[in-house]
Amino acid sequence: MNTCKVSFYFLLFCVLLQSFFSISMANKIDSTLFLINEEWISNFISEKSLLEAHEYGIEMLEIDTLKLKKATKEIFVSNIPFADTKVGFYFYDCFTMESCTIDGNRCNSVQMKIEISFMKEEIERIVCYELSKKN
Amino acid sequence: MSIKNIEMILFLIQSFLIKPNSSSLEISGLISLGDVQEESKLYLELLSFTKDNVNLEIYEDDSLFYKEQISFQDFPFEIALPAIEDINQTKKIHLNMKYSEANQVATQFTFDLFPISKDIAIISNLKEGRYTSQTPSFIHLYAFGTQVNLQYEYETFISLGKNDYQFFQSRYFDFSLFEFKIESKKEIHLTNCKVRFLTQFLNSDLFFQEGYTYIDVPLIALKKNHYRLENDFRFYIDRRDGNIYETQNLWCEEELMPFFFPLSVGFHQMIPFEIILEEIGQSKMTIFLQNQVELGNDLRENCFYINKKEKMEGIEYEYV
Repeated sequence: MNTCKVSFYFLLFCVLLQSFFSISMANKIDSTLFLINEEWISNFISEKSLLEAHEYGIEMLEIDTLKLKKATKEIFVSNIPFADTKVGFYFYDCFTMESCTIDGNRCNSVQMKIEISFMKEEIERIVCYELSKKN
Repeated sequence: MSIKNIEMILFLIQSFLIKPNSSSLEISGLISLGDVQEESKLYLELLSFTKDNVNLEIYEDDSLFYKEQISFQDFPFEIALPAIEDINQTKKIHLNMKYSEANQVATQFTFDLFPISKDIAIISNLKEGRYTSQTPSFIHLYAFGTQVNLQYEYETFISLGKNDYQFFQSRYFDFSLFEFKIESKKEIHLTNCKVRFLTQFLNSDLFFQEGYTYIDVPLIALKKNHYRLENDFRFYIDRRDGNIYETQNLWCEEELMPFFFPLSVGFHQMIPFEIILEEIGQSKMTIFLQNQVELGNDLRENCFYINKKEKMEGIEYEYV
């Protein structure tokens, strides 16, 4: 009878611990995703393109893709180190809506697919940040 | 016309009225004052001389330092005067020229020899800031027989920039806006200066760099002793981390860039800077031109990023 009780309490403890970790991890993931916002993306406008934009207009603005990839990877690794995170990037030109791998298009906007797997949970988020002119 | 020039003209008129003796010696000279433990130089030039030889004697605080018989063919010539050992020391130099034949005094004069002060001055009015050295750099002399005129010449630094530095459309720091000239008896050769920004910039890893940013900037001579800073295109942007380097490496863009403020510098932020010009001219003065620059308008204020609700389908992601 006692063994049954201990087993029950142990099971309950495990469930509570798991849900605690899940909630805590979910909070951590949310807070990390919250860091990746419009303002954060605008920090990755390449300095060279910014200088060009002063001469030829804001159509010349471009995201420093390597820097953004590196920083995004780092932000997930440092905030949720126990989770397995994969981030996919699609850079495109918001003026032509075409991929910037095509000649003549600039990498000024980005759509990211963030896949986080932790224990048995899998979270997938798609975020898209597009450059827009002020009227 | 300056008071010095009027004095010189009056002196010349006076010299002329005192009937020029057939045996009068007329010389002009320049004494370049040196630093501590550095020789000063006396340069003498003959303007008119009717006799063959003179005995030149130079006394340093009443003790004979130099004695030589010279003829008119020896002019112009230069003599090194004794070095001063201490910054507070002065030496009285007496120069005596006697005709060899009659032992008659051709000219004589006394002057104080002291080291240059090597001033350090701060100028914050860049539009019309001036600084004149505390001690003279040269002593100009004119002797007509026993009539001697000594003039102490100072060097003056004049800033010809402006007082408001705002860059509205650009993050480039325009070095060519800074101009200055030096009023000096001699031609001054300057090749470069240092520009220091008294702000610690964030680097690409969002850590503050250590210390302040120093840049060696070449100078362009516009006229004699009139200079301007050159816009310096010798920086490369690293493709990997966006850092700016002075030497090209594998990851740098091929294009050379001028110095510009990193994106971490916010708009309407005042960035103090100073231009350091060291050991200028004979007086070896060091000038700090201090002011501040403001980035006036962010191009990014005209555009922004939006979080787009409709996501694109069927696209190919690159994974990291």
